[in-house]
Amino acid sequence: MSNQSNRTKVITIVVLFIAALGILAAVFNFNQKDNAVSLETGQPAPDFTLTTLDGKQVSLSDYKGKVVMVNVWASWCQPCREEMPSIQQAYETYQDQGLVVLGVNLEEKRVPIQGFADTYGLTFPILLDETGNVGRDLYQVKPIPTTFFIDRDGVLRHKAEMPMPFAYIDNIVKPLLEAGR
Amino acid sequence: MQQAETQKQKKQKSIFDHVWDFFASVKVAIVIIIALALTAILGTIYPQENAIPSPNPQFYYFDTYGKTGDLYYRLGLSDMYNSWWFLTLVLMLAISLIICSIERIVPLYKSLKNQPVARKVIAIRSDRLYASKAVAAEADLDLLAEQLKKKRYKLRREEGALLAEKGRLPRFGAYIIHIGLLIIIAGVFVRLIPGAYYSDMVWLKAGERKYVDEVGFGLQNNGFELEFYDKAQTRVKKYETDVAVYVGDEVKAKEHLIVNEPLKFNHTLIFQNSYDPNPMFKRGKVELTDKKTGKSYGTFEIDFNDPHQTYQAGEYTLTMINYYPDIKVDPDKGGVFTNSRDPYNPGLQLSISKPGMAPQTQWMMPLAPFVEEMLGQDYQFKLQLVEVELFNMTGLRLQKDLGIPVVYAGCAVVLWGLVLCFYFQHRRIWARLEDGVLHIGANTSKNWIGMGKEFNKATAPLGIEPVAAKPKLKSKAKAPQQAAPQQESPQQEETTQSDASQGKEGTEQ
Repeated sequence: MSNQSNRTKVITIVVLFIAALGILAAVFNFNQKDNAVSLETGQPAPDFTLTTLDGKQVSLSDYKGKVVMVNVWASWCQPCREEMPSIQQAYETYQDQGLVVLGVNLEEKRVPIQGFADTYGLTFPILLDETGNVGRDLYQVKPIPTTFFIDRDGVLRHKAEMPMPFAYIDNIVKPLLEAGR
Repeated sequence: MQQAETQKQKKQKSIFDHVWDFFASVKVAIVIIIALALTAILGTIYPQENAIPSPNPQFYYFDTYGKTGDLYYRLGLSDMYNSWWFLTLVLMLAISLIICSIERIVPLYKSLKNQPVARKVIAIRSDRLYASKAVAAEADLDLLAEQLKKKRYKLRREEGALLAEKGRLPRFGAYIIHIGLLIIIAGVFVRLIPGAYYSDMVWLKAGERKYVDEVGFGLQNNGFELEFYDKAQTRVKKYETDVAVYVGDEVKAKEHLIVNEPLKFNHTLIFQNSYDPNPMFKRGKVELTDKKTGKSYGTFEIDFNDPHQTYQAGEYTLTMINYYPDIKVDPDKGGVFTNSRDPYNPGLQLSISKPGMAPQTQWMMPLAPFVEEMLGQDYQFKLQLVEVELFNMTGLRLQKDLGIPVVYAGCAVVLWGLVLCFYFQHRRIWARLEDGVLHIGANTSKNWIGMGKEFNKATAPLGIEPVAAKPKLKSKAKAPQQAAPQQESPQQEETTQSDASQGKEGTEQ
């Protein structure tokens, strides 16, 4: 083998490998790009704005300084119905100490949700996510119910993908309320 | 394959030489192909994630296939064709194809380009097709050249020598196949470019519009027709959708979609794929009557998908206390809930009042007209659907794949290469005058019988008796070769083989 062909070999190998690694890196990045917004605990929770059942515009950032539970739910989901009383109980127990519950309803209509809220006696704000932009896309909720716990600084502290008994909520919310006092 | 090289080169090989030799090895290529085949088989044990009827693969595999399904999901086999290791294998195959081809194309091309017209007589004599003319002159060469021209050979002449050649490109057929395979691989990778590939279902209710960001437009269902052959509605005759394509709020295309005749928009095919066999309630006209007297108080219109909070029927106001689009009775706890957000089986709890009258609460369920008896109630009013419009959801499939034209182009190149390989041959005829004797030898990449016929036809005008091709040499005393065994290398033809040991001589006149 002459020097000439050795040079060609080296160049060919280098070019092919850079191309292959480039393709793999690109593919890998495309798959990562779905998570443009980080939903890691310890990171700031992404802000959103939605309309409440009463027709008010509400943003997550409105509640800076409070502990926020963002509960993503729907009335056709049985575990969601199961945990509603404990969420309402937590809200009643701790709202004076600075707990806010935002019930983000996924893709349902106003009248049936109103009936549901009346039936369960829900007093916390219920937000209408009619297109699923917030729950499905921004917060990437897969199973419902999913609840996000956000501290007073707007940082995501915990994510629960299950129906929560009151004791469970209590365990998470209490330290968050005491922090940053 | 590489022994010759190792013999020649005792010097240190660089890392690049090692990598090159690894990818230039046919054994390695075969191992990669087998590995790809085995992984592809693994990928078919359970359906891939893009083919499961569930948005939650993390539960679906466990729920449907149990522990092995869960393992399958956690090993990443459920989305194998997008996994880094499968794509790495495919890329390794591509690199192997490129390097194997370069390794063989370059010497072949060079030797064919540089082949001399005047070939050694000893080499011509050892050709499988060989004939000679004892008393010959330059005129015989001219005559032979003329014959070969008729047969569309490309001729090169020198003093007392001739080289006729045709079908050099088919010698490269195998590499053309390789290039085609590389194009196919490229087409597969095009799919991974964001926006180049999309395949999913869109379910549309009557009048509903949905935007699909991935393909950059929205679809609106402007009417869905469903027809059956029989009254019992068991055999469907046709289902068709009037669909409108929206970009922003602008209609860009309209089409009456029928099965198998997709609408193409923005490189995306929109197919009428299916429909939901369970009808939904769209709108209805409800009449409020007095149950005892049958007197009608008035009617109101209700949109079951998105009802209002209050309705007016004559002087009565009806307020929706509860609305369940798809009402079900909870068998464990009693009570009712909605099973989905779509109005398959609406349940309305209404409070009916007028000034100076205590509100009456009544249930109404169009699919359960005897709800009153079921609940053991005695209602004052009768709520009756006098008009109702049902509809079925239409299921459209969106299919976008920019890689397909690339894959087809690759297939075409592969086919071209196959045709070159199988139906064309690289034929060469050498002639040499030496001491008044004309030696004619011929070589072909395949089809020696056809070559022989052509050879004899060309030599007949020179008064040469027909010859038959000698059987293939099975000499074990071959010099070590560098080329692949199935490829008779061009250099080899220049190496003189003494067939004296074989005792095989061409039939000479």
